[in-house]
Amino acid sequence: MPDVISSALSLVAHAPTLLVALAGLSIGLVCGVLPGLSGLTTLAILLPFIYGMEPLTGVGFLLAAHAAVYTGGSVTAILLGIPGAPANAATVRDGFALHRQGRGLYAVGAALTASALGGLLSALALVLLLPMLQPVVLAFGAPEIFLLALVGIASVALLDQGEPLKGLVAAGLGLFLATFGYQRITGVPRFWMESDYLLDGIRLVPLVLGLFAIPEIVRLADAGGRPATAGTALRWRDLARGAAAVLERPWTFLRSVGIGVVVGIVPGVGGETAPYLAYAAARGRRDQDDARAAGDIDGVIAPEASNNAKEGGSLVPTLALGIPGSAAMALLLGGFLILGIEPGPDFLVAHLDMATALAIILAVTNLVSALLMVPLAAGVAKLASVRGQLLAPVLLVLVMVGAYATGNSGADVLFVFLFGALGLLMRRFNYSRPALVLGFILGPILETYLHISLQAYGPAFITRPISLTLGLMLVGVFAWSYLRSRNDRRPGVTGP
Amino acid sequence: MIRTDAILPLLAAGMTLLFLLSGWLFYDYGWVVMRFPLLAGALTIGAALPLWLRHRRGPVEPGPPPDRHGDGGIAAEFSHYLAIAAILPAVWILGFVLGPALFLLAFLRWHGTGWGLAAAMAAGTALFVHGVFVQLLHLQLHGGVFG
Repeated sequence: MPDVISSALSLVAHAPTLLVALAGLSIGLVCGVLPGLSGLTTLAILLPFIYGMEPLTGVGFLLAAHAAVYTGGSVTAILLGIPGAPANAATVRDGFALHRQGRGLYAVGAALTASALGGLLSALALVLLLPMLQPVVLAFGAPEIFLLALVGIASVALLDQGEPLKGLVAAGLGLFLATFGYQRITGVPRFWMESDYLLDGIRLVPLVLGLFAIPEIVRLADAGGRPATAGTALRWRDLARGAAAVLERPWTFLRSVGIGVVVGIVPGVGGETAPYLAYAAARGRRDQDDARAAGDIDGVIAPEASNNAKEGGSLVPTLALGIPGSAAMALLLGGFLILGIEPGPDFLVAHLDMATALAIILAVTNLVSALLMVPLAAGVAKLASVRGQLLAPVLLVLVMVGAYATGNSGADVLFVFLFGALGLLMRRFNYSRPALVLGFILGPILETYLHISLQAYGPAFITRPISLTLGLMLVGVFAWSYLRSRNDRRPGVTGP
Repeated sequence: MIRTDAILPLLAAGMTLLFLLSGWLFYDYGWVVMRFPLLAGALTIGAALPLWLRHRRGPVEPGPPPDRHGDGGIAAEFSHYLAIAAILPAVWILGFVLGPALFLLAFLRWHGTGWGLAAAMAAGTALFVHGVFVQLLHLQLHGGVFG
């Protein structure tokens, strides 16, 4: 274990890796402050820029940006009542109420400390869990990996949002789009429509940019101007008192971190769920006592701690099994694949130091982003008043250049707009875009392992003990989503 | 008349079916090649058809998801989509340095931004793309039909 950590530290202590991670962190903070740019959109826009980087540098860049988004978003949630990222929405109620009581920087101090320490503890959990999982994942053969990937897709498709049938359409579409181009097993090109471009299949970057970035750009283009906000005077004493408030509430803080890590590990529960669960755990009883009570610092600490803690948790299945549990992790997995590395059991055996290095980057990012936000908080919050119509064309240019640069192909740019139209329809009619991306990324893995399983064991591969357990989990996911969907449809019950 | 929320399941099922049929009838793929697309297609079509049938029968949808409150209609959304898609001909004709700059100028002026700010942002974009992507990262960007 100490050898692995020292090896990981030497990997991280590499000037280009640190500089690129710092750049990612800064971009993540700015994107977190700007409403409408979620962690997913940020990852989608940054994905094309990792081509040519070293694997750790490239993935560290994405991870740093993604982790910093939520730290930046907490500041605008508290000072402006606008969540920078959807996951910061749970912070708004108590954080903004505290700001209106003149205690905004007290709340900011608590949010930044909870974010930093929550992220730090989740990175520690990741470092401890990965070596423990090593012998477990080695027991997984082709049938188990196939079924685990299926459970991952089914979880995101059925439990992520909206109606299960819509999730299945999205996942099925993602799996189908993944079949275009040369088949891994036989080398036969599929559905290529006599186009050389499609021989290599549909590319991940245009798909992700189209599904996530284009709909956000359209929304920003449609958004009116926001009123400029008055600056908030920086009082160090308030920030320090806020930081101390976290340490004075160890139970609230640790429980929220635990919720974040566990929710992060479970595939499909969704990034926005952890802060709400932690908020409910911290505030639920008092909300029942006084439904109108708002302005409790626990309601800031809990969602912010769990928000950053879920990142470490969600990296566990991504790195150990190659099965991303959330959309953001699916994009991160896409980053790995772009850089020629396939996470999973073999990765964990061969590159445990790199996995640990990513945990270190996650921990450092959480600390540094919180420290950076302390002096900048009051001023940076003004960025949130930038008009969406000014941001939209600038982001569009980045998307265009990024898409073109990945393969020097104009077709990539056209596909961005093609998938952009699909993304708009999916957003409007509440279809799960993460399920489509997950299906697309895991499609080739599923097909390959299904083929190997059938060749080696025949259809009876499902009767192997671990496979059978995973099969039962799959049935459980379907049953749970069916029951949830039936409850949501009952009169008087609204969906999530 | 087709309801707008029936578009996506119909589109997904139709396109998938079309590609599957092309695999059988046009490309003449074997079983190993077609096995996985068939499974994925069956999932897509199997889930899309009940949705499509339900949308034809009547409205059962809950309210819009939280991130869509305040959005305009589908027509307004696609008019904005077409507006941003105008960058495609601009880039094709003028290349990646001048095309986006001209698009930015037109877009910002169309949305009521003053000439000064719009021109400054357009110039800044051209300088950024040229400085960072061409000079620093040495990317071979499309130079336009004249370049």
